[in-house]
Amino acid sequence: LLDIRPIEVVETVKRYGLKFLRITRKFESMETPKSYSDMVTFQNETIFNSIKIPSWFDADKLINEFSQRSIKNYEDDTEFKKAVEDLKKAERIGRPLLSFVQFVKHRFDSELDSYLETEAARFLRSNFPLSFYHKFVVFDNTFQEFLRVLEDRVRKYEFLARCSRSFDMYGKRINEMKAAISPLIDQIDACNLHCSRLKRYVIVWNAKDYAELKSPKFLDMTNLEHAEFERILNAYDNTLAETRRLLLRFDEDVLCKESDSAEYATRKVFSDLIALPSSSLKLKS
Amino acid sequence: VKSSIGCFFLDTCILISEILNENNPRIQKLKKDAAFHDVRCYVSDSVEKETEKKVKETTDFLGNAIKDTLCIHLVESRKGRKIPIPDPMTNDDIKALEELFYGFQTAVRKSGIALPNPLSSIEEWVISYLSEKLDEGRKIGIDEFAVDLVKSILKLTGSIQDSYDYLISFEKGFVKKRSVILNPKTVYDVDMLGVHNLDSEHIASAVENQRNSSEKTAFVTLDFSTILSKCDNIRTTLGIECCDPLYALHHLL
Repeated sequence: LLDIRPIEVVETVKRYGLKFLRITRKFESMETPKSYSDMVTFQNETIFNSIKIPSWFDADKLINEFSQRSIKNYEDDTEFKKAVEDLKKAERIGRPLLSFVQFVKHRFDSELDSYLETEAARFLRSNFPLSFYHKFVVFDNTFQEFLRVLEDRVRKYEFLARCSRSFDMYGKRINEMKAAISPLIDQIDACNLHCSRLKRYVIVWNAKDYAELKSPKFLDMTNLEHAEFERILNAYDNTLAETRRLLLRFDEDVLCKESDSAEYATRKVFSDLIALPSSSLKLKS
Repeated sequence: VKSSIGCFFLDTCILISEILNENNPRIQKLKKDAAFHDVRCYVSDSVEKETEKKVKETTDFLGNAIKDTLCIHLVESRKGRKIPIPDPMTNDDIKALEELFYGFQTAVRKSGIALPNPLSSIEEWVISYLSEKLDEGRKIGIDEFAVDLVKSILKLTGSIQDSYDYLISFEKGFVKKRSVILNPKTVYDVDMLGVHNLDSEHIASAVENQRNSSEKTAFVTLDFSTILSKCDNIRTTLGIECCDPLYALHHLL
């Protein structure tokens, strides 16, 4: 959404023996287009160059392993790939930017429950406290809100751009959109990187070999170097807090969601337990 | 310009009730009073820390209770009954859990610990959940059952985090954070009145605020057993009002 520049193509077309001027507005990339592969490799390089790696792994191989997995997932995901390719194509009809954001948002909303399930299953195969996995759920919730805010902004600016009479005004609106959403996109990118770094750090120190990287049998916190883990965790916590603070600046209602009535029973037990003195929660269970 | 009639320093229980969306009528009145009379509601560092700690402790306790207690007991019970672990859960598994919870209740009674047993809350939640699934005719394995329970906790803690950040971290609600430099002597004085641990720091923060800012300060809490029952002593010794949210405004007027 940021690496784009609007261009206008003026063509003369002949219809019913008459000449018409057809003006098409398109987007072109401002830089040499980056492939998905370049992007994930760069992300993994950044991650593995900033954490300690166990002696039984090689950093370059880890970068390759994680990047190839992401690339394969992307290649297999024909629906998502098509949405990205559609956006890259020069010819534009309708509201392509909004359509893309909506596609990503609908996709994410429908997958959210499975992300929750993944964290729950990981918790049950680990000795990390549940509050650790809660941090990833907060990231997912934050990302969901980010997409909601992004959809809102892109809808507004793309609508204004389409209503523009002149191409100059059209370009101005698109630039305004980019200026409005770029801080948010940069921040969520940074947060995603810290989140992935934390997950990767826990995984690589709990995998015995490359084959186990996909799903280590058990996540044992004693396998981690405490100081390094704290450093990575704190960096993630801080970025997540900054991201949520920024989102709140974009939309005051971001953190005000209605309680889910299905949560009632869980809320009740949580409420009962939190009211007890801390010493009660230390009773041997 | 109307001058402020004072301020409230809130206890952890008030914040917890708010972030859990309990809609406690006493707290609703406090919020209404504060808004109408323009009374600031503050959260001290120690209250903020304790609130965060309690949410984390409760999350971890619930998680461990499911993973280390329920699941292990269910698996052991099936091993004893020679039932394959992956089989769907049945009434016999509910009875196995009954045995587990009964054992805990008995042990707690025998130990003479006067504290309420947190496992009874978990017992009601877990058994109701499981019997509901069985009534629906759903075939659910032990693993799936555990994942479902953990998922529901994570979903809830996600929404608690939103409320926590909105109210405390980002101060978007009716409270504002106020850092007060604590005087160890004041903390000690509160402690001497029988208010211990973090509660003494919470009250000492309100005391210091009143002394340093000359702003009449009331410490607002729902905790009768530890704080409100000693409010007369605290007022006489330290000059600070400790009150229930229902009456908080009237202690400032």
